Amino acid sequence: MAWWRRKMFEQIEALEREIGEAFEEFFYERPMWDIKTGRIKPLTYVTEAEDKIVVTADLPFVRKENIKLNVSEDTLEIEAAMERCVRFERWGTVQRSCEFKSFHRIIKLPSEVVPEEAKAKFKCGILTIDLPKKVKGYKIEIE
Amino acid sequence: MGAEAITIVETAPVGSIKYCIVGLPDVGLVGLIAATHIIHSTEMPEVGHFESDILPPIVVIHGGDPKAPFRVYCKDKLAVITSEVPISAAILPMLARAIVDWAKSKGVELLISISGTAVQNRLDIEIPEVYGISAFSAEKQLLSKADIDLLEEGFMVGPHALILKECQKKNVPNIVLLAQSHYQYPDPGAAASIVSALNKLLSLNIDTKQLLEQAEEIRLKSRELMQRTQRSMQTMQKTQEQEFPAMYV
Repeated sequence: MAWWRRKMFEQIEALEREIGEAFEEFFYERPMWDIKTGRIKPLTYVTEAEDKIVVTADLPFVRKENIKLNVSEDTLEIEAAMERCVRFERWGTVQRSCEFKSFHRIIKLPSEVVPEEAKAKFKCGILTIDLPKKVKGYKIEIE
Repeated sequence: MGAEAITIVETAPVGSIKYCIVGLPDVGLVGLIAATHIIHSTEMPEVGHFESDILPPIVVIHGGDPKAPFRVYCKDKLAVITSEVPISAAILPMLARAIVDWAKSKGVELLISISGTAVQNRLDIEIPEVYGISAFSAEKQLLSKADIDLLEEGFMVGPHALILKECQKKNVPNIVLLAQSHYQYPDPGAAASIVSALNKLLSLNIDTKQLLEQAEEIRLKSRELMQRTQRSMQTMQKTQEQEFPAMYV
């Protein structure tokens, strides 16, 4: 490969990295807790398939019956009370001995979904929500 | 010490070491959780830390004492190296070199890297399997004797890949243990599998009951570190571990 082509690929990769990092920094939600409301943001992961969006969330100390989900066409709200309050002792200066009692997070979905067709399951403390996409794409006949 | 070198500063006398375990923030925080459990359950004292201008400018406060986030623990010829902060891809080569050079200087008989390997169906797996990798035939036999399957094909990305290469280069016996794990969520279950594998491999007797009992608390309290670790894994293209290797290369 010619040196200028390699250089060009390296520059494109560096640019991609920079954009990715800036994007993440912008959307990075910090801190992941709020002392006033006693809420913690759960770790979540969003993956997009051809026909659906799958959201998973790690919800330790939560029982299935205490999870509330609210789905619109472009957002998913997760609220889940913990079985017991969790205390963080002697931590930091402002938030010494803070207590948390629930998880809460609103997730902006990457494309529009059909809320009525959403399905959720909860296993080993991990919540999985399947959200079928509104526009599923068109099949193309091969001539 | 060069500006880009990383050195291990011993703060307590450390004699020769038989086994050195390296557990760093990585997939599912498996290595870190397992390393921390070993340190706590054996009441292993801190004996040193990593120092360098290229390490992140962070000090962790524990029990009122400021500490370096990259630390070394040691008891009865067993050492554990761990970090409370994720490692950026840029410092990985220097870090791997520092760990292997230090281990070699201590006459380590076996350097064991512990981590997770992401599997999509983790929720369907009750007890995660552990796989082993080594560049040396004697260590492959050790794995076989301990009933640990070899990882036959795949990619390894990150600190353990570089530690393995460095060990190969400097002829330091090395094994990498990878437990089936969640990629993006802390996985104490996978860490327990690693501890069980170490028990078999090194004839240790570390109980995993407490680790499993505290699993929910560990998952809750390591959320933020997991999120930061995910970012560092992205920069080192960690997802390549889930790809199929090219067939004809």
